[in-house]
Amino acid sequence: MICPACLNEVGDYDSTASHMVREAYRSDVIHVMWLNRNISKKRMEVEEVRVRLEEFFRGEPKEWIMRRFVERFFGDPPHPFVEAMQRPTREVLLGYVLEHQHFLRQWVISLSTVISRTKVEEIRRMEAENITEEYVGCEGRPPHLELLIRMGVALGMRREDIVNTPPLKRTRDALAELDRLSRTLSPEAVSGAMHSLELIAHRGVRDYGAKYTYFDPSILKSGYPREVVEFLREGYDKDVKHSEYALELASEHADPHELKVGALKAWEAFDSYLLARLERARSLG
Amino acid sequence: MGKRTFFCCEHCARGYKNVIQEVLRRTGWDRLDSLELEGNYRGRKGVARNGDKSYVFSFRLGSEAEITEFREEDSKS
Repeated sequence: MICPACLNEVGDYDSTASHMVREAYRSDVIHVMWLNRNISKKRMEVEEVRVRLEEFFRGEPKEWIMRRFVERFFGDPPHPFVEAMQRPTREVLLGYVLEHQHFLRQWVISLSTVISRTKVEEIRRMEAENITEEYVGCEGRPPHLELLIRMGVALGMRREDIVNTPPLKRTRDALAELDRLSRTLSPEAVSGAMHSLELIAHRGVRDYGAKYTYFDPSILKSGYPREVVEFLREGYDKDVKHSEYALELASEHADPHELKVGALKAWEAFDSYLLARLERARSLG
Repeated sequence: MGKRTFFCCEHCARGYKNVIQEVLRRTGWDRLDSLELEGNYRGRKGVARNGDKSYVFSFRLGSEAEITEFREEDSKS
């Protein structure tokens, strides 16, 4: 079993709890932060941490991931970016464009590590198809990266300004973490963790207790530019299928604990990355 | 800073120092008498006081506890 904070192999829940308490007593940042955000801000002894860890990680992986993701991003209050997307301003959508082009590049890199390392043919094929849709285009449809850039142009930015805008530091840090995870965890856990991020656009999240969806679907029929609707519709239509199928495969082939730990780590990076979109939006305002 | 304060980790300690420095820079005060913070990693609000003056603000920290966003909010008199 790996430590959910440092990803080092530690043994069973007893040794994981001892390890985490020892690191927390040393005020190690990543262990303290993990415990604060997932278990408790209160200082605890080893036995209590062991019990709380077992409770926290209990559950079938796919259902656990969906429930925990919804709690984190669609809870009350939801992630600030989800809140902003209920009625996105031009600046919020441009912030999305300028940072997400970098995320999509890292997406392809991370999924490529899965293709090169997995021995599960179904996962390899799924990732190859996903990369094609996101980055290359297929069946006469442009890739999502192109739809994203067109959204930015429709909102008044020049294409060359969009593609020449480097990422914010917050985005760079988040993508570096996703890159690190994709080279550290098993490929099947990486696949599940990365595709769990597509739950952000899953239109069925209300069935899992979400108070919001990624955006108000009435936007798809509203006065936003056609290119905005086309980009958002792609995710709205496709990401349910992507995420659910990928999570089923990951649940079948990845170590359940590593999959959950990997998903949590990916969400930390993603959470920060979504804040970067808002940071960019504020800089444009 | 005149008060010994315990922090759970170096990140929080560094963040706290950065916030104090930023408030002093923006207000021109020579000291803070108190600093109250609430919120979490997605965003925090603070109230700094110097005598009978107060300064209300919101902020976010980055991965190295640097201030990535800082905004003055309406101060109480």
